Amino acid sequence: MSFPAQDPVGRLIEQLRRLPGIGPRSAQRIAFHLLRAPQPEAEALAEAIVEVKRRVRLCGVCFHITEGERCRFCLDESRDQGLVCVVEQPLDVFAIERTGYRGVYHVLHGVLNPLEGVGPEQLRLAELVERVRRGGIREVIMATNPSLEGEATAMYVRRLLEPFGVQVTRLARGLPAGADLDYLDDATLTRALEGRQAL
Amino acid sequence: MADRIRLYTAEGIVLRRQPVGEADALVTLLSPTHGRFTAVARGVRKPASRTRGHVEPLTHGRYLFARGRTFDVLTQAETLRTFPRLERSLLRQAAALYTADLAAGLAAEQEPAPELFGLLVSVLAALDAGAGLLAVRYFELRATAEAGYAMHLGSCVRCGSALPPEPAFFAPSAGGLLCSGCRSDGVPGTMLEVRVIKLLRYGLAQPLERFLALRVDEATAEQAARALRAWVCHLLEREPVSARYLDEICALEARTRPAEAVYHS
Repeated sequence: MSFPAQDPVGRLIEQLRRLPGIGPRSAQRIAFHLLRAPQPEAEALAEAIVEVKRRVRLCGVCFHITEGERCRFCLDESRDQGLVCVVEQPLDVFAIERTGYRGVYHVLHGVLNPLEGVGPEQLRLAELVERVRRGGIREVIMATNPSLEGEATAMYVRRLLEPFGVQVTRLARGLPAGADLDYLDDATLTRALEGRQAL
Repeated sequence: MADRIRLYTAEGIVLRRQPVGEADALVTLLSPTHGRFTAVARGVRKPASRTRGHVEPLTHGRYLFARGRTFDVLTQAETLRTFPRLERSLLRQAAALYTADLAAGLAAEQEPAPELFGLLVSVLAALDAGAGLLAVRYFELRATAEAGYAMHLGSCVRCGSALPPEPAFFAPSAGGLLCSGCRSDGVPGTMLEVRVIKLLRYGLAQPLERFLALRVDEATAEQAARALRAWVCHLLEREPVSARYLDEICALEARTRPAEAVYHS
């Protein structure tokens, strides 16, 4: 069953369909769930969406999400401002934070993906180069995903930063916790062997 | 009976992996037996996925599929070969991705493509072993030929007359070289030097190893690259998506390395 686009329910379904991972059926289900939900609950959702778009912006230094000019990591003077961890997405910042990391970040907002037409100009790479060029950074940790695209991005950043003499490191690759060796692919096992450490 | 067989295996090279849904991915493969086809790999983006590492782009593997309504479902995977050294060279990785992109554009869906598959494996192996951009030129030449569009380089493509050993006009829309009599004003194309024509002919006739053993000067390699790019764009009716990235990486490499290192091993 389809709803006219000018119909309030049809408009809601159409807007929900634009969200990642939401197909037409899911959009209808969510729309009818909201229709049945108590008024305050639906209004709270609408307000949260409006507020997040109005108040949240990107940090002028690292491009992580923030409400001010600079994010809390960039403002925190107890953090090592000379150690920059480069990640793909803001969500990756929260993952790295769980490890107790005390440096700062740079969020690229994507990775190089030649097969999807995502090139260097679509990422926050020029801003990273400018940040390093200004000085004060001694190490850049490439924490992009261990995928083909993540590796390509890490290699590209290394090449971009070569002229500045800054140390560029990469997160180690190997076995995930609880893995079963029998099921691992050759590339992961090879990297794990290459990166073995003395006990 | 054949319609009732739900599971099938296929060897293939992963050409592309696109995220879909919460943790799934659409995986496009080139298989010698099934040509180009796309299947869904469920949960493959979860860290604990056992299939994850086997469906990285440019992985050569053997896969088990269950027939589905829209897409078949990839249910098991085994890696047969990876090209690990590609990850250590920005240029060779960009070149490998471009060949995969081109293979995806040229291969017909669900049509067996053993020659194109074999060609892709050979070129990826050569790039992994350290070959330069000449390997890409070979792939462009031979993959378009395997797809049924071999460049006509032996004589004039219009009148069939023999071409004298001098520069000739290459017109992608005509399918090859034109003699001076057949070349009409306004036909898009480019003049090719004799040594470029010889290089392209050699590539169409010789195996990869011999082609890669050639030593080609920068001007010849550049002109051949432009002609082949025009040829590929004409056949696909668009520029391959990864072409711009390859060009950017080439420009980056050219600033810091001698041209010899870009084109050769």
